[in-house]
Amino acid sequence: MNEQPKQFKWVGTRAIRPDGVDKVTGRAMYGADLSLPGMVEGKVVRSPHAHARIISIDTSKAEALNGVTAVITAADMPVADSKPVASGEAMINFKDLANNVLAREKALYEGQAVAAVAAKTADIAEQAAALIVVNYEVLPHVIDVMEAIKEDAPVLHDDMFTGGVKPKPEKASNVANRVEFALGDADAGFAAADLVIERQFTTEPVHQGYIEPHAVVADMNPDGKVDVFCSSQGHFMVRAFCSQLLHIEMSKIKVTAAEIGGGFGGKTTVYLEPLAIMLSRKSGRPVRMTMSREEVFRGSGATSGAAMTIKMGATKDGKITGAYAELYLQAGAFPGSPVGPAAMTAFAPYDLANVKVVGFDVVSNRQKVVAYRAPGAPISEYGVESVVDELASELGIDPIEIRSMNGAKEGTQAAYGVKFGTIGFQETLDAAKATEHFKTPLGPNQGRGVASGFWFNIGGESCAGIRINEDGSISLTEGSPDIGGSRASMALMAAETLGVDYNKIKPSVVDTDATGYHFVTGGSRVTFATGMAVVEASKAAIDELRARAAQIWDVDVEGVVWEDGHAKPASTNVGDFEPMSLAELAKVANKTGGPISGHADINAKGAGPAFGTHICDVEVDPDTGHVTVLRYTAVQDAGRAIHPGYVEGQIQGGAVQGIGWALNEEYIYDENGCLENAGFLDYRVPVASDLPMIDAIIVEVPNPTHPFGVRGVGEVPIIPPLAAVSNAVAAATGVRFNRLPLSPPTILAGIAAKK
Amino acid sequence: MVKVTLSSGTAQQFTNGVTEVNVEAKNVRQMFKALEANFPGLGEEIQTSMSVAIDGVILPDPFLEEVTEASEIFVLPKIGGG
Repeated sequence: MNEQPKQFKWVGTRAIRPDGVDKVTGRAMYGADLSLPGMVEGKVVRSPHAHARIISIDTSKAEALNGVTAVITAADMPVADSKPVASGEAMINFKDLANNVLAREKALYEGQAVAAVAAKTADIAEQAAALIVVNYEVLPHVIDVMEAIKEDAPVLHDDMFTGGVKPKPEKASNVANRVEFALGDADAGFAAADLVIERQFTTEPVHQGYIEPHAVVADMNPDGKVDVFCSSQGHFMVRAFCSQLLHIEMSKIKVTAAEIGGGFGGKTTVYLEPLAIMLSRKSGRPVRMTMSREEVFRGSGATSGAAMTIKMGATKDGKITGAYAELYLQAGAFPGSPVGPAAMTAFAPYDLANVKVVGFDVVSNRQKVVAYRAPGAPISEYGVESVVDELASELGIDPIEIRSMNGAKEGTQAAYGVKFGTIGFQETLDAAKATEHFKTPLGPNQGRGVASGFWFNIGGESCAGIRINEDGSISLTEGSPDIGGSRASMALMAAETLGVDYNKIKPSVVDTDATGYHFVTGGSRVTFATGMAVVEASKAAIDELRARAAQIWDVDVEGVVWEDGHAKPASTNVGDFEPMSLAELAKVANKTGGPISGHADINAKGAGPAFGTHICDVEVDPDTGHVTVLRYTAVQDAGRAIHPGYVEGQIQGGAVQGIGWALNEEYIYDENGCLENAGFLDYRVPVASDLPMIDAIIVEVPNPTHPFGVRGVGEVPIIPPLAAVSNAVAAATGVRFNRLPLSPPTILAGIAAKK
Repeated sequence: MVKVTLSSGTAQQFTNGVTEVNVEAKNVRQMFKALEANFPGLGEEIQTSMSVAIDGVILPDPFLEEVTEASEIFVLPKIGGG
């Protein structure tokens, strides 16, 4: 991290995380860890077909099996309204969500849930699931995004007509939606260029790869109240979705966020939760459901696979004059790919006068796409950053220099319209260029790639409560599931604001009955938005503390200031009073009006956009096609790193996931549209032994709208690696592959074609 | 009057391709109402499915925010994240 002048006592320190001991000693409760008296186990029956009409479901044999307590199908679920709602990166439709949770008329991908059972043991549940007879009419299927848009492709939804075009099409198709953004005149920009490069790229769908599979325990009482304990990025989202899907009032559903073993966007929707509630209602018992790893791959969402055309033109001195992108993103079985953000982010790092982006949201017979870090951006920015690299190479310009001369600055209007305020893209480029890494010579078969990335970051609804206990310790409550160390960040911001010891603050992520609505933990929003709520709640508590001191001193509250954890007279005119500490005021709170607290319920605005620049060195084995990542440096503007260790962790984790996307990860389907690599043995994510240490460099260009300058960090680091790796491989081999993943067979084929 | 800038895709759907439209409004609520009156479906579409950026700040659920002739207003898809 850059050395910064010491401004804060707690913010910017590497404090021990409050949840750390529980996690390393196995005490932390994850979704599958809860066991309740009388609890039964649930199991899902999944479609073996990629596309099939459900003719009938016979559950009689399963229901007759000794030990089975409930069997459900879509017939047990209310018919959902076709109602759009914001979820993760896209608007979703409750009819689609209901069908994704439990197929009603058609199964649209292999692995889609069609029925579920509950039984006294997991073994009995498994036996019962095997006794459920589903009669299917198998239909033609389509997986690939470009196959899905063909005229003769099997159509998944006969009531889906492409949105975003006028006039409305008369014929149903797999193209759910079209988006377009333009600024200036792209064609005029190309006419002004000395060099125009146009390339086609493809990326494969990839899974978020969270270590903890989906898990839930649901318990519906006879009076209709429901307790849910689950692994999720948003327990308020779980409450809202289950309420909508099952027609249960929100106040009757209490959801407690279990500890979470990773989500990365994949846990911003529901799969098992509504099923567990229905099974509990029918069983009259608590129901636990967990997915196996295979079920995670077959039954839960990945991000999109994509095909795209990227065209960019530049003058011979490197000024980019025109840019065009055409993006086709898989949505999976139901509409809602991240094509909108993909289109908006594609050229966002650059200050371009003439740009046009067109995007298409395309359904196909695979798992419904769900958010994955910076949804859509890694895909589109991979294509753009590859072409920028090729422009630099062809023009003989340093890859960081071409980004710097065209890079967005304060006041730049992005292609999607918005003018940037204070941003730190140039600072990330400067920091990358200054690294020893960038100057280190390379050997034979080695190459270096550079790429940058942009993400908006978001705000949204968050709440926080500060309760000052009688002994001066502080209970901090909020409702954003802690995925990346946010409890520590919240406590640091509270400690800084209140002027007390970080270790005096106990942060808790509380259930849906105990705090107000929180939007999901996602979009790099929690440190920004929930942090803002924590600061406001702390300030409200300070106001109350000042009022109590004013009472004790018999002065006006305006005469009391709060400094370094103490109430002090604002001036000598107020009187000669000894400062009172927070603990001293807490001790006499019963005599001055009762318990002292502060609360904030906000919809945070003003999230700060963030940029990153990565440098990747690889060595390519020309005989095997294996790519070894030799060295990797990731630079990112965090605005302000509240806890630098966790910021570095986010940067490193995102970079590793992006490297996996670039080198290894892909879904392999057989001719029937069934997944052939539904496990970590065959779906290869990078592990620690595959990679060097990821060097994370934090740049701090504070976001002026946050009290401490936070921008958010979790999304950006997954964006640059796809192109950074690909550009490095191009430098090492002399071949531009334009498709991911860069697996050994692909590399070998490229090298052979070059020869 | 406030100037509202639409993406070219949204403009093709609702305003015959005109990306900059002017309406009489002092806040976002009035702006939605005026857009709906001038371009049927547009105000509703923005409220249910889109975000609005005012002076560089993206607002997922704008309603009461003040707007003036000097405001830079853009209509965008909703943005979430992982």
